[in-house]
Amino acid sequence: MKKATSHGDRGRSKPNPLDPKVQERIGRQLRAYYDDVVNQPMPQHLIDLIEQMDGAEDKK
Amino acid sequence: MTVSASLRKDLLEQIPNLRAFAHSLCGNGDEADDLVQETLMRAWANIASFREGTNLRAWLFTILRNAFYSSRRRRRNETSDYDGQAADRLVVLPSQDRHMDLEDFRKALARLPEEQREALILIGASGFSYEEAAGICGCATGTVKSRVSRARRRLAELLSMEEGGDFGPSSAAETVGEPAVTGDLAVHLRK
Repeated sequence: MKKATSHGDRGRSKPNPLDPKVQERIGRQLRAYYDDVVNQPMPQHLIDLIEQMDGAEDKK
Repeated sequence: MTVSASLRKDLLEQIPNLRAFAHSLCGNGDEADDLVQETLMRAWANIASFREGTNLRAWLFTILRNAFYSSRRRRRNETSDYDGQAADRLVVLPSQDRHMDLEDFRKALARLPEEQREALILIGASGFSYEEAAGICGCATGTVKSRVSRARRRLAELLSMEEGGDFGPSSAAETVGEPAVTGDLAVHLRK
């Protein structure tokens, strides 16, 4: 039987594996957090910066 | 230095991911976008050292991470409590209509040591392999693995999930889908 201590297991001994359901839930929240930023519109100045890389400025 | 049209398109496609990684590192929207800008400038200046066909995303993430830590070192010399300030900013992100779940998660994430946070993001959100993440962070694959596992464990503690089992009714987060290509991006890619 697994001892339900969450305290004091940060020492040398190998901790119990994380409950797969917990791991899955963390994964979901992590992606929700990340995708929240990914799905934001891109700032125009960053798009402009990449467009400048075509070298058009040099030819002027 | 001129960058080919196809490479410019690839760079553009990476912006959303670079912003998300930058956010997770500095937690402040403006600072994150400054960091992405700095990353693109550095990439442009060093574009000759990038071989087309190799992993552009990993290359850019490496540049971004280096840029973050070098600006971080500069600031640390200026203010002694930079860590504390950064953690505060991560917590007070503007949020009107965010789920409490997401807000709690953001706060918990902010409390992780930086090295654990970046490892977790690279593996769990950006979709890099352990080997790629190790390359980006300049450490051994095993180190990334243990950082990710410590990060998950710490998050479980912070979010009181460690008991396992009952989380209540399933959350809306389950419906999170694939990141869509945003309108802006789609438009620009067609140009």
